[in-house]
Amino acid sequence: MNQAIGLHNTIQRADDLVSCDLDGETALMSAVNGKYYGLNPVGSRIWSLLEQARLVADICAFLRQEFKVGSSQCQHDVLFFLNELARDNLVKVVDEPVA
Amino acid sequence: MNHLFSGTLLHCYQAFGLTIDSELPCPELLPGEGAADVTIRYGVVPDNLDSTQYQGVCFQVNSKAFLLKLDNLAKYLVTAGEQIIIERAPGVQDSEVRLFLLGSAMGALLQQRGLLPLHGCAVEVKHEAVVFVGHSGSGKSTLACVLRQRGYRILADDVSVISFSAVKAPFVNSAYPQLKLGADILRLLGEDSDGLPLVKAGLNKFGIPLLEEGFVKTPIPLKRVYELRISNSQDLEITPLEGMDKLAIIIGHTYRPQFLTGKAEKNRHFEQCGQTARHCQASRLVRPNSCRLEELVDRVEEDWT
Repeated sequence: MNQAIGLHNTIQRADDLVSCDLDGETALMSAVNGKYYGLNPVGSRIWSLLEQARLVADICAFLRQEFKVGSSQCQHDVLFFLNELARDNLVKVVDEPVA
Repeated sequence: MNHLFSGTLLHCYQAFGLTIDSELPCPELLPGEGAADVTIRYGVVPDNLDSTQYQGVCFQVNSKAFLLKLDNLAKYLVTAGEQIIIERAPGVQDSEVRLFLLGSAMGALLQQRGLLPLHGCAVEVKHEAVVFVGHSGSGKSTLACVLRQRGYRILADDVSVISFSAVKAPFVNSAYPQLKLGADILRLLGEDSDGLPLVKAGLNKFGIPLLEEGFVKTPIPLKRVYELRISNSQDLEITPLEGMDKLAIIIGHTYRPQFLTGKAEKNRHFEQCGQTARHCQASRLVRPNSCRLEELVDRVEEDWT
């Protein structure tokens, strides 16, 4: 069992995923499990930020600039969302510094 | 234009946006000319493919080929999106061999060519295509027939092939000029089944040829997709779909999705469905079981104007 993702982790998109934008939402397909996923507009924004490896705390900071949300609410929701993605192997932790 | 190829007469046709040379006569297809994209020949077809990626009840797929095996009817080997070899059982009628050739075997070939075949009929509305997708029995051909009676031109009856322009906009390619309908529906629509060819012996379904003025031969842009559903409720409902719901009907009504087995093919399929969903409007059309056809078509016409 992997450890839950926290604010201090650096994460990025998993391999073997295809995504497409649709009316502000994002659709994902995992080539690993063959499942389809739909991300709402906030989830889609997080997904677009994950085009490169990022610190989870930085993702929260980006979102707080763009959406009207309190700090603890934002952290809670982002961590919940990212751990859901991690559960289905859609993101991976890459804590080694990325040059 | 028909021609001889190593001693065999090949008939030249056009269908699904392709030029096809075929040893098996296919009178339901339009005549074609020029260099063939696809060749259909008789030959010996193996019972198994090498290094099979996927094996279904009556088909096998590997990275290059698709094999369809129908006991006591025919075997079809579809290769590289360019060739179909048919080995037919003795005593089988041409029409039966064609039914699966123009259905599943052609579906596999279209996928090998990187096209997106949708399970639905297509009609032309103001120079753009409207596609009605739905499961078998949801009334696709019936709807096409009523729209034809109202003067709309048809592009496809059962399989609407989507191709993409340089800027990735989806186009619908014309299939072949025939609607397949049961005798009861034909009667209901006031069409005469006398003299029409049976689609398959023992199957009470007729092929209605479309006249030249009733059929679109060139690809036209895809404007809209309706998903046809039948419900137990009393009301006819048309609900616009957005985002994931729109994507879901494109993915869900892909023709023969079980033939897409490789990772690259699955990824391409997903991207094409996304492209299609991005460019078109979509709605779900739910109708009661006993809906009057004229009312249904009135509502659809109202919806797209």
